[in-house]
Amino acid sequence: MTPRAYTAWVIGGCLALLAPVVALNLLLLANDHRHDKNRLASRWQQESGGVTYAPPISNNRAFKTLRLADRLPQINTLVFGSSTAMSVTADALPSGLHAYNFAQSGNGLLSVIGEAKFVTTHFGERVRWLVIPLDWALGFVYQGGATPSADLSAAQVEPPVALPLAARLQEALSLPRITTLGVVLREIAGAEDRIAAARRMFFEAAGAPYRCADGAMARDFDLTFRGQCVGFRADGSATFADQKRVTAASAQSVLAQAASASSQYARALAQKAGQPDAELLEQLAMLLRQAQARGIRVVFFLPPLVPGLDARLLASAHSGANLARTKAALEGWAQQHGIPLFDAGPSELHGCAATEFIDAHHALPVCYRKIMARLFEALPPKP
Amino acid sequence: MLFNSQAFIFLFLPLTLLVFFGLGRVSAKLAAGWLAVASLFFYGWWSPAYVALLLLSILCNFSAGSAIARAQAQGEGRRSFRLLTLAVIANLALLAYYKYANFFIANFNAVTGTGLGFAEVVLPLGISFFTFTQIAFLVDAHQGKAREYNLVHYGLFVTYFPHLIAGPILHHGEMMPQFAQREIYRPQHDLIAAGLTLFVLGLAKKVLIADGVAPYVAPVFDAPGAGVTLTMLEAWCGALAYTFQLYFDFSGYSDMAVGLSLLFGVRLPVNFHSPYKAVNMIDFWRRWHMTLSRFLRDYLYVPLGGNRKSRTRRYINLLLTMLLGGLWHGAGWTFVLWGVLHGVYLVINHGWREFRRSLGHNIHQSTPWGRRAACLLTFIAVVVAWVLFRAPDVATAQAILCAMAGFNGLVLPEIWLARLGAAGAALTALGIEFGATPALPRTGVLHWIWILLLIVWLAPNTQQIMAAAKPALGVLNEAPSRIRWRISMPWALLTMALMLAVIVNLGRHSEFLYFQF
Repeated sequence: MTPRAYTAWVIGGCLALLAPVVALNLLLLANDHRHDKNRLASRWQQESGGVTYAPPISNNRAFKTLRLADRLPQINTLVFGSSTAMSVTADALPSGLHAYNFAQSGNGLLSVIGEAKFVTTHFGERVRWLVIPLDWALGFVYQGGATPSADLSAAQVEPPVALPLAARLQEALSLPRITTLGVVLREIAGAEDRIAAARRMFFEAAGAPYRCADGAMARDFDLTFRGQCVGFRADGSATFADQKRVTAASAQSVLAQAASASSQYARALAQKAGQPDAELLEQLAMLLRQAQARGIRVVFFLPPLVPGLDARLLASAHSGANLARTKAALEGWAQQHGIPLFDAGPSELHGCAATEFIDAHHALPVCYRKIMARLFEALPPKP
Repeated sequence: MLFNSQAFIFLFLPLTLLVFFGLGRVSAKLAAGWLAVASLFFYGWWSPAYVALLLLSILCNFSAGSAIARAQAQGEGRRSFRLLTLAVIANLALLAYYKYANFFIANFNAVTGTGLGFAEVVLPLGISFFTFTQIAFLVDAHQGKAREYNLVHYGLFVTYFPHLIAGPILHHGEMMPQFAQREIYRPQHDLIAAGLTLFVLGLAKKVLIADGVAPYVAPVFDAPGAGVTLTMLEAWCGALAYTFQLYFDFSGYSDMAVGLSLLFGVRLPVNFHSPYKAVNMIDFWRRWHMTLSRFLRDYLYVPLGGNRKSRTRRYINLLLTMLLGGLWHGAGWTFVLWGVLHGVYLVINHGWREFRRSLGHNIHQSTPWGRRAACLLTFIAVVVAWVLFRAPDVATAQAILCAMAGFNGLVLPEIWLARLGAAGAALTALGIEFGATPALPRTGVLHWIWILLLIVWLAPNTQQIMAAAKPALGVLNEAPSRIRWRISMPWALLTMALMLAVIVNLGRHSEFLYFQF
């Protein structure tokens, strides 16, 4: 082999392998930007009532804002929060409450306050109940700062903007994009009609509608998780179909890891030695006053944890005092404002099992139904 | 611009190479000029404002070097010395302003209680490298070893993009003759093949290894500042992770620099030679950042008197050289202490040798087990010193070193107790504690550590692998390694596979650690 041939093989081989990858990923990117997937997915769900979402799955604000606008005439209750609360289904709430689950991935409590303020100001005529989790497990109750202003009107949802060429090329060569392309090509290779499958993937906004195992309709506007019924139901709750469940066999290990001093929960509690942020509590109080002035009821709760975790953390040397401090501070704050605070943390007390969780802090709808039933039973009648 | 960025790999490098060889057909001067301009563009990509500073530094040093050489040629030694002194002071003043002013003022304020202020100055990238390169040129000009009348060649020598930002620190005498050769302006396919392979190997060291182990470093080095008391395992894992991150990051960069330069037909000096295989500290400094060691030896240790004076004076010279070497790395007490510690290591090493000689021992004779033990001892000493090098302040370094010494006890991660099952229970019975290790959120670092230990102790280094191409200057003569690169299809496919693995991981590209120096 000559040196010239060696260099040609290395560079030529790389280019030969990368060129189709880049070209196909650019096609997929162009397809992503050609369609306003948030609006298309929202419209499809409004018509079909099926399961869907708009990519990326980690950013649900635009899709859920559009859905909220569509669902507003039928609802009177909004559930806020992060993915922790995404399993709260409309049927988990008592009759008479018609809910849309507005929880979004990674949505902190400060953002929730901004969203809830917007709802009380602009949708207060229709929305009469706000359900808000006070999530310490992800550290949200310890975060201070200004409340980001939220605009939940459908008009402010922007259509996608095409990236500049350099950014597109960079993205086309990124590992997540290449991984997605692998999934796409595998699906096309496994399809009965490969040409039709390729056309759907590369040139159309979504795959064909299909039925989930529970009979619900679904349609995928994203390239990943195709055919898996991943996304949100019409009530805004998540299916979490791509996530594994805690099993009876893995429950002890999940609990042991979550209760350890190096777990994310222990670290969250250690942030401010378990003391919720005073500024945040003041913002919550302002929201409460604003809502009460308009006759809207706000329900606060501490989200459920995998059975045994709350007790283990409370008994631990590393986090016990911090968690007790958090609970006492939040309870004291609730009492100060004359509202009840439901603690769903020890979920085993409310009938939840470890197998009704995805991980240590993501409960499934079956658990949330029990939690919500107890929560609303415990609520005093409207004054 | 970073070597590990897509803009560099897909645009800057191919374009620079193509135009360089294209112009090389017409005129070597044009091609050299193009390479200098491209190198300035490469530098200016980071901050265009500092291109002017670099150009000013080049012009002043070229003028000073020419004046010194003329004075020498006219036999005016005193005038040459005065010019040299002035030029070196000017260079050091520039370095002091950008790199050390805030450090000195902060310490002055701390000692005197004054509140002197100084504007925050952004450290120009690679200032330590291009300043040292040019000081070496001036000293060589004064000693009659260097003479340069071609501004383009001089500019290229300083700005040459493969070495500009993080070395190797070049010596005028080894570079200028290469730029004067006609053949470097024509593609030399054997060197291009070797250079490409070396660049890919260096890129893989940086992107796949250094960046892979990097996430385990910060949690440990940030922990003391956040009030976390580190345990022995956490502290050792953090220190070892950094030991490997720094080596693979900087040696990867040096491999890339040598490989890139080889594409242009120019050989750079070797900068690393399996430093963690060193059997003593003297050996370590012959293998780690070799061009800096050479600079410190030739332009600091030897002028201070080296080993030509008394034994005490020699040790003082060693300590001074290493202290200033530490300060060269950064304006902070941790760097000063790191340099002093290495100075102490070297003094002990020299003292031990003399003691053994006085007993009539042959210091060049050793047993395999003796060498292994010496290698382990040297490695531990180096790891301990890296803690000072990486720690944000002395208090943090002290906390980590105390934890490494076992003052806070040995605690294994609590989650291992469940994983280990009966073995965990047995360890508990033996008194081993399982508990909180917040600075070790992911225990995957242990796999990195044992794999990388095997690599740094047993695997050949890139210069040994690439020995057939003689890719660098000053490579130590050692037995050839079993893994030897040659121009063949398996090596082409391996290089291609590595290149692809690196390219798809470029998205998370990070800066090189040595850019800050």
